[in-house]
Amino acid sequence: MRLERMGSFHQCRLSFMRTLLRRMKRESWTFERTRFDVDGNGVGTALYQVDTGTRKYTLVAFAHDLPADQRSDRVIATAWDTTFALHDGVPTDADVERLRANVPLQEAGRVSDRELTLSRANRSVRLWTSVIEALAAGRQPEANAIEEVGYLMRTTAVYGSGKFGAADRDAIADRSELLAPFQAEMLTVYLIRWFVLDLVEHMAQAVSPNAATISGHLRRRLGIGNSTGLGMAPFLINHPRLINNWIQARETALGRVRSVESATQSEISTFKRFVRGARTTVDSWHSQHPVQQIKVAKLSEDLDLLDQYIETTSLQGNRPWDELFRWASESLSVEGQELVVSLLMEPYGELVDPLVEVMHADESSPTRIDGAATLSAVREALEANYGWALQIDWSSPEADARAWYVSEEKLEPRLGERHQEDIGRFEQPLQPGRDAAAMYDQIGDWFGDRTLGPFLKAHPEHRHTARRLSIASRAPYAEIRDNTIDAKMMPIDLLRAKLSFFGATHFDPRSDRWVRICMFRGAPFPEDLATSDPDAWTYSGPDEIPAA
Amino acid sequence: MNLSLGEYQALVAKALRGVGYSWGMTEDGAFAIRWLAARRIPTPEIALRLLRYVDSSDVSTMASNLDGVADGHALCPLSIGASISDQAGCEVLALSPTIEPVLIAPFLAQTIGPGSNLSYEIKWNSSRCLVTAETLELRGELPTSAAPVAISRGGAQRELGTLAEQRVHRVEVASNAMDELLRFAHRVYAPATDESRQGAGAGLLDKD
Repeated sequence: MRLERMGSFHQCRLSFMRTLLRRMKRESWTFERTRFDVDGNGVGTALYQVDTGTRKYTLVAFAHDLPADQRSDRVIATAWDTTFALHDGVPTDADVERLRANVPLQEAGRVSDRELTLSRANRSVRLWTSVIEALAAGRQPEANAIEEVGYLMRTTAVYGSGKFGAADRDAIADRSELLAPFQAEMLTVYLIRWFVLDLVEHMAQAVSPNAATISGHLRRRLGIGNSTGLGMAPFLINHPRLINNWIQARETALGRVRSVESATQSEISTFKRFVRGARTTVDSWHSQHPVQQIKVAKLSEDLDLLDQYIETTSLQGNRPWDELFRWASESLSVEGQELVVSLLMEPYGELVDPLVEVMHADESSPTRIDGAATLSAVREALEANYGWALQIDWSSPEADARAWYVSEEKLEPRLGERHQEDIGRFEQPLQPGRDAAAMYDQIGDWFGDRTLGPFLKAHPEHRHTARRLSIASRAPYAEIRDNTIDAKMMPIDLLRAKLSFFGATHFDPRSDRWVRICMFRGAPFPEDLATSDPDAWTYSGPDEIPAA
Repeated sequence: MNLSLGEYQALVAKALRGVGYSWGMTEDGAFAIRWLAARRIPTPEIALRLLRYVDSSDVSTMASNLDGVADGHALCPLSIGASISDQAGCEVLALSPTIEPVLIAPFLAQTIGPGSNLSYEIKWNSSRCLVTAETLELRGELPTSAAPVAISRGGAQRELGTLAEQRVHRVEVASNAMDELLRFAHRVYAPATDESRQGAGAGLLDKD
């Protein structure tokens, strides 16, 4: 899997937001706002409870009055408009007070094993005040502004998996509703979206008792924004077994659809309906980044070509989707090809959706290394899995221009210029290609009939690479086959890949290393779930919400 | 401080790296300490004794030879454990003085694999520990200095019935131990500079 392709992924049926919504609907989860003690300035506490039928989870929300000069998306911020924790069960008053003393502090506070996530969000300065003013005046907010921004608040981190004292994934992974990746995090964001809508209407009501509420159509068009920076990028390299399972599920889904011998009229019309939905999504995709602007423009042209294709092709021949996929591979940009991959899955929930069950990974213990393998076999395995890296001239300053390191300031990953800053000695092991090439060179000094065990004892600096090789030899998509420290590497490609698996839309890179996105935009709110399609919403545009 | 095992493992990994372990050994070592912590072994003390010892010598001089030659240094339990793991287990092994031998246990457990009724016994001084794929039982005292160690496979099988499965998901780390772990861990961080902050995320003020 190459970075250019990963940086063009789109959400699909396997995305974790859609997985969650399908489950909520299938299992008839119920939702209740059990507390809303918030004053007219938007300061206070609220609880949003979800009942899965077997368990309850509660979003504990704290709303603050943040001076504008403290509002920052950076992870180095120390205050936020709102802060949240997802509590495992129904919190007691004492739990809420415990969380009140900690959650607003975020990284500087502590949560407990009764909490699954910790999060925070800031208001959109562009939209927040204008929406309150419009509602207070009895008007609906400006639809164009809502389309332009897409959210009232933007999360800047959703921590889970044991961070800052929260429950470990190990401790909850046996629950069916949390088995698929990032389900607790997605549930947190889904409930935050509900709270934010309540909060903005409550503040308008405080200004004027006759304030309007946001109409159903506009409500759906408000998602939750998210700013994601370099902190997320190492995840994809640090979790090779998990990433393999994500990509493998996607490839398997595509393979199944391409193998469909013939398409029914209903499947064809579903596909066409989603293509129309994709058009509205692309039309409402605004980016400030020149690279993404070009990609979106090209994607729009790709959709024209796709329209022509499906107008002029019956799709009723043998293996029509395989034929369409082949055509797309030759005719569309990488961004367009990846959109087609996502769209092809849409009519085939029964083939695709069960693959969600194999997208998690047991990463609880390090993969064992086979010390009995001969070095000649290890060399062959390195050639097979890292051939691309062995061809790079690593003595070139461009090839190792960057170094991943962690700064002492917020303990966050950063990407620096190795040849200009004194960071090489702090480098994190996030360049598998270069490290594989180094191990390959070192093995060249040893006789091939010797084994890996003694080699690693003499050269423990290659131990992490030996482990990655062991994983990559069995998991074909574990390794990104690109140079992650190249001078021209774009970290946003890593972010896009992960966020697309979340189910994010409207990627808007603001530089080569951070991106804004939208989550749950168009998704049904809890009260609409029973009557809504849990899948179609991701492609809905301003003027079209596809029927169930 | 009450930590999740995940954040404890991450902290220990940084501390191990901070005293000079390779990245691969760091992964193995942090896992080993988490594995023991989940089985109620007092790992903060064990980890700190290891970290201090390695820090005061040099990780590269900590011999890992299974034949027990250590050039005057104690053997490193993580290197020993990794070597045993890499060769998929061992029959019997007599080691010259080794620090914190209980840290070898998780590596032995990993080589046994789930479902197998194999077991290992690790002996030091007058104490020992029994290891199966999932469980560990300590009989006696943890050594506070390097001690000769004997490892044997299968010897404790008849006693498996007494091994209780009592896993925990949290670890309590005393504040002075936490401070010391953090000091070792801090060595992996690069000092913040203005360059390092540029472009990592949004501007310092958000008007969007």
